[in-house]
Amino acid sequence: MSDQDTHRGPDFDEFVAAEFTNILALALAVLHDRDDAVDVAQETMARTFARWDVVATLDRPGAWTRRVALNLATDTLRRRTRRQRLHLRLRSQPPPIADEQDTVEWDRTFWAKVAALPKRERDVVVLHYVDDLTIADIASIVDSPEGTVKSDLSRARGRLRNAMQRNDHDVQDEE
Amino acid sequence: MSDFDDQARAAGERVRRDAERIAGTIEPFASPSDSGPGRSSHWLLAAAAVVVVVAGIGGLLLAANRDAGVDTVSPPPDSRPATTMIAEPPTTTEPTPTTATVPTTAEPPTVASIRRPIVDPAVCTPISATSGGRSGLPRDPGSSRPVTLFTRGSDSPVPIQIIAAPVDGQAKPFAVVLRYVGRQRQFVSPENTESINGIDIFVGTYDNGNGEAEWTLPDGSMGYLRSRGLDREQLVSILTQLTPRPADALIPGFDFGADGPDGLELVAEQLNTEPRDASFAGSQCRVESTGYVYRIVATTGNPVFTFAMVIDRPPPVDVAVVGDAVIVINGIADAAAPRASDVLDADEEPWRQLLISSEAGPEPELAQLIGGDNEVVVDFVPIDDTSTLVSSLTLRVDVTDGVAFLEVYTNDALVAGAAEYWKTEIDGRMRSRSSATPGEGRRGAFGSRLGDSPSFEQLTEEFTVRISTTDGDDQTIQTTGTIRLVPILAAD
Repeated sequence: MSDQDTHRGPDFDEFVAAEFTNILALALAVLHDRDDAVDVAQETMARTFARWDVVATLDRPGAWTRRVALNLATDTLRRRTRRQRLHLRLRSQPPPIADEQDTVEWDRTFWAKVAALPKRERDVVVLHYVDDLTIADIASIVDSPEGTVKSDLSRARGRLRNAMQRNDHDVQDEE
Repeated sequence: MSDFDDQARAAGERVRRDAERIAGTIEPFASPSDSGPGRSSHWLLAAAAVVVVVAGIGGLLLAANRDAGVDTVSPPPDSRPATTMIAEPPTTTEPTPTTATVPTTAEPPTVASIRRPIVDPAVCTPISATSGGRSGLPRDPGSSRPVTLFTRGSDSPVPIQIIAAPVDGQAKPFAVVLRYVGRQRQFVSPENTESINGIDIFVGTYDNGNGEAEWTLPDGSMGYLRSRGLDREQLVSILTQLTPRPADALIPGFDFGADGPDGLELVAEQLNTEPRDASFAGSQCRVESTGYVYRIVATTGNPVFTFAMVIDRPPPVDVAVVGDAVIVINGIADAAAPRASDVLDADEEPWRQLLISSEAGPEPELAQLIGGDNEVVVDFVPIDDTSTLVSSLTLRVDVTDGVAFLEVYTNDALVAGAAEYWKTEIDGRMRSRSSATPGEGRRGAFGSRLGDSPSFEQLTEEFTVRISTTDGDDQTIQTTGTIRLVPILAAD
């Protein structure tokens, strides 16, 4: 093994230890499916490893990795065929993470609405609510001005709030 | 803090807890230096990822990986020459008028080629790079799928013939001629036809330098010509020189007579189903003063492919032949636009950094001019990108009584069977929805008003458009993706 490999091993593992759960959470929020989310998180780390000698030199390697993860999650969303989506909507069993007892119906609906947002808004929402990042941090990850991130977040919040309110009314009507 | 924000944050926190629980049940990704019992599968995953990456970016990283002991992927063995070169380049050339900005015809054969094209950063800041096309044809030279030019596919092999100057023809006016068997289209405009050799041929030339012709031959096959930089008279001259070959010819296209305009010759031909040995690399950059993004592509190899890369896309800002590479720049052709003479061959490490940037970031959208005679033709592809269906939509902007409309023409669209609606989004907001009829080549158009209260003066800012088909549940089936458009409406 070369010195370079020896050098990048420990640094990379520290990075994985610090970031893997964060990346998995982002993927989970977007995909709402445990297996897909794990695949995305693992693939993100595989790509990070493949580029680690360069990524490690970046000011914020975590930002690069988050962008890869969000792009991979979007690719996964696109690849889901219409049949799969229909199945997801119609099947009687809730999606995998909804099996957890402490996951509430509100969450399922909320993340489904998030997944339906345009990519830019979806990325901003997930980074804001799941990763709890500042506007400046989000702007550096999505490579947009802070003002654009604010307006994207504001627009997405409005859409989500309205969608959730409509959903609440629908549920009340059914009751 | 609103109730909604509180709930959303709590939902985010619950996702984090879910992620922590899941992460505790799986082996996290580990680097090979930490490999031990139970780690082998992840090491294999990492190794596989490295190999995939190396394969994906072709030879660009070969030198770097050689030092690291990484196996490289060799190209397949040479196949027979896929393209017939009709004309041999002359060994001596007379200086000829050319749009090429980098002279090569009179240069000694030591002219350096370009494999990693970037624009001088002082002119245009590099953003990203790619060593292959993202989707569609003929952008992917490694694909075994048939070349589909101008989003016009065919069940039968299609002869592709290039009529061009014999040297550096990609950077000069040229035409591509196709012949389709068993595919007829009837949109010929009677006011733009010419009677040539006893056949009515639709001939169109446009302000952006593009031209086209379409005609039906006595045997029922269809001829189609697309040109760059040729005027109507030159197109008619070319069409006059075309004689259809027998249907059982090896390449059943056309013979080209000796009296073509301005020394143009039949320089290359092949069937669209034949292999093509070509390479492609590109980068994108942003001009800081305008914010416009430009795409720079370098192609080498198969002449049909290199000509197609010039013509099967929006009219280029500039084209040049440098060594054996054809350099094409696309974007907004204003005074600040980069030129082919600004293109450099990047060093390996900066290029590698750009490739990494491409993977991490969203693809910058290339702005295109729209308005007046400037129409925009965009790929229209299924959201499930495993499909090979490729068709196109044509976008135009029309101003009536001071109100501007975006018009979408569907003649070249292949609408999926499950599609029920057309959906138009402008600047990320849905602007219109109308019924869609599945099938191919159905004439039609629909429009959307641009802006909430558009006035002519307001149409100076660029805007984004995304056209999609959806099913009854608003699930996207096909889409153009997001397109950046810059209006260039002249005052009436």
